[in-house]
Amino acid sequence: MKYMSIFCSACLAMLVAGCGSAAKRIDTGTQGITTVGAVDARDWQEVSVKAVNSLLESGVLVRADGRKSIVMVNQVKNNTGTNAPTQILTNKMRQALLSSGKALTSTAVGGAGPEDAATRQVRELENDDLFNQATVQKRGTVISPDFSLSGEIVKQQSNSGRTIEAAFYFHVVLTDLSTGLAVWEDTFDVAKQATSGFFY
Amino acid sequence: MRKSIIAVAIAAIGMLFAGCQNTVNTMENEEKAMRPAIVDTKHFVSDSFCNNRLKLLSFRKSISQGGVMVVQAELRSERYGFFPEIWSWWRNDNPYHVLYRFEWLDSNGMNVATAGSDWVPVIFIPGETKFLRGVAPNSRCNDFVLSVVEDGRNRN
Repeated sequence: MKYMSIFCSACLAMLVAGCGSAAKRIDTGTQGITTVGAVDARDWQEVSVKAVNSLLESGVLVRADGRKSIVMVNQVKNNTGTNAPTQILTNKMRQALLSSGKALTSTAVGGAGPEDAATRQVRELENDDLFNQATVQKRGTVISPDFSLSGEIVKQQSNSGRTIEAAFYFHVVLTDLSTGLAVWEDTFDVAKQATSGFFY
Repeated sequence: MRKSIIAVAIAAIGMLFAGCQNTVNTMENEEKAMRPAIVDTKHFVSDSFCNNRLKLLSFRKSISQGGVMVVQAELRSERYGFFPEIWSWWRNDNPYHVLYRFEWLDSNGMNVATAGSDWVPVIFIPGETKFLRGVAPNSRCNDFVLSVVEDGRNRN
């Protein structure tokens, strides 16, 4: 009888252990994981869509002189206390800005240093006799940005019994660098809740 | 006699649970000042349950200050009333979670990939009306496809 119990327990353990699944590709938007404590892939998607739509609809990027606006991408501060790669949001917004035909983004300057240091590096070749000086990029040709895109993510978490709730607030701002005034800003929130079981 | 009692008991329990659900009542001005541009739509329905649960009230369009097309679908959750509420309680889909996505086509009919074309979750309380907005990625895009799918992962 004792051996039978051990055998059944072993079979059950093997059955549970065998319930894993092989790695597979998923559609993040319809199949991604939802967690309470962190910003998930589908949360980034949702906020990116709303931020891009709000910015394009506002019309602040349209200039009276017809020239495309130049936008530098500054930092989005992560004040959630969790790991949140904010570049996901800013990179999606960059791509949407370029696609809009109304703006170009600068990689020569950025909140955490330039996105691409090559703009400065190639100008340091002007004293290097290894290079044909006629092909070296001249100083004074890089275009300074008109706008700066920045933001902040804040998390508020609360518990009640076995239920945990977290709300993430994404605030995004576009600043006119000639005046220092915010010409567009919007806030998007993502709230999630889960109730844990008695035994886990 | 016993069957009748069971049937009454089941109906009473169903009414009890259905009565516990919150539904949305709305009020609006009857004489409208707006003169919206209506979008004629054609539909492809593969999920008739989703189609029955959300009623398309209007589809409008405008041109934004940024010179791009903005479209807005007005949808209302039809999961109110005795039997729908019992069914929603049984299926644990109250509130009703769906995902929507706008995809945009340029003047050549080519899809324009953009960050604004990802799935967005939206939650409907029974009887609630919501407006799903899509903004064209640029002024060359004037045609679109709106997809709506049930977000089954939110059932407990």
